[in-house]
Amino acid sequence: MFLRVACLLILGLLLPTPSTAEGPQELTPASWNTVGERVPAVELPRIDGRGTVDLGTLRGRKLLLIHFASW
Amino acid sequence: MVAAGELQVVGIVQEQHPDRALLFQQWKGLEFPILWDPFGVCGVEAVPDLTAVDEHGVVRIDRPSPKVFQEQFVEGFLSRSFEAPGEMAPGPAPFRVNELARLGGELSVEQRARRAMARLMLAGPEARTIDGEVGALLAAASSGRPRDHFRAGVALRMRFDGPQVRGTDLQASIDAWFAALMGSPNQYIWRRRIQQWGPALDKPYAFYDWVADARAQVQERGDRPVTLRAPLSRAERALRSRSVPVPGREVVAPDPEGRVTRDPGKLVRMEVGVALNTAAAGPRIRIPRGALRLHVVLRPRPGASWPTDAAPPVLWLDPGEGWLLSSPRVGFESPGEGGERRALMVDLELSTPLIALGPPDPNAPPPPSTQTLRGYVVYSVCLPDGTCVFRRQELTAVVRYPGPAGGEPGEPGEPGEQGEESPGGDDR
Repeated sequence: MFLRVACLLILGLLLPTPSTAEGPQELTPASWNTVGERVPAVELPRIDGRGTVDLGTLRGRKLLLIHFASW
Repeated sequence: MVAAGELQVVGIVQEQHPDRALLFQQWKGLEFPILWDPFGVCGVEAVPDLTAVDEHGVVRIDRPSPKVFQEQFVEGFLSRSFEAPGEMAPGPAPFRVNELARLGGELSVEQRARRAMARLMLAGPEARTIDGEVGALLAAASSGRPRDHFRAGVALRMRFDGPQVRGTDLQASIDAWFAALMGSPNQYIWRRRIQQWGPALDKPYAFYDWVADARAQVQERGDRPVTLRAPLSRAERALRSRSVPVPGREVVAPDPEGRVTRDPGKLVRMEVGVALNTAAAGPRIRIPRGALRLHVVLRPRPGASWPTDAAPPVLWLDPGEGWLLSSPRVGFESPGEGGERRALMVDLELSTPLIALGPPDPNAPPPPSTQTLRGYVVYSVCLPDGTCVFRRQELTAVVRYPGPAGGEPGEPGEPGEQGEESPGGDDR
């Protein structure tokens, strides 16, 4: 019995982990507006060409995040 | 509050062109950093959207309301110290452009697509690897997922705006966005991306009619306005309209008897894009088919150039029965001093005639899934040896209607239609 269980365990470890057909989990509107959840780990370039901003590093001060468009 | 260091503000724009948002920032004097997310990696489906985040990175208010600003935002958020959260469940995979742009080794289709988006966000239309990045996003779009179609469209449009443009990029980007919207008709941002270049009859508002005022006011302040890399089309400046184009005074065709020598595209490459009204992205659309915006781009081939002392090109459209347009004759803008090699663009609106609405006839045959618009463009163009000639090039624009009658939106890049398969690089 023990040997059978051990073999199954080893087999399970050797088998490839099934990949998610959808790929990495994508962000949704809920990622930004669910109270109590951490803001997503996103680093995006600045439109003025002065590098990027990683939202994950903006700690220590409160943040107002505005998703908008100029139109 | 910001000056006192109590609050930091960060904006994220969803637009195709970051320089327009930058001009907006300059015009309005916005002093907070604005980030660029043209591919929609943030997953936001509508703008504007505001989120208040505490000092530990935890969301505390979704869409702060101005009506209860004092109570909710000032007292309930700004004035309050929040406790550091305990261990939290891992969220979606992080999207960090610098990290993703450097991904190497064996990558899945999704990883290649994420790397492509990161690289394009960092380098823009001038990315040296843009062909590869477009390819990676098109490969991801073969999944059929709406967001992958949208992202492929963004990349195709970026290439259209850059030096590596291919003749099919203009229409291919619109087709990709339409495929995305067909899969997610409630995606407000994707719909706006099409409407930006679509007919005035489908616009919720003018998209970039503010640009002229912005430039003027920035100049009045003594500053130099941000230069827009990709020129604004008429469609993007057009005001929302509820009036169907009405034929104006009779105009003369530039070559009614077809006597002008034809250019089969050897001197000037013509690129055509049709942006349908987004109401066509519906489950079952019968006539009327609504309005569309026809975009025509003329690009001198290597060695050819526009003369600086001749009239600019003229488009003559003969769309056939059932179409309305203000004028079949449309003039391109002059290339201007120093613009002898630049692409010239024009766009115009066509609409089907209005019909009386009534119960649909179940016995009527389904409307055709495609219609063809025909016309021609006449232009003066100079050869490499300096000789300038007058030529005519035929225009064919295939309008493909999505929906059950039309099946899937047309595949991009069909040879012989609306541009060419050959990459821009091969022509140079």
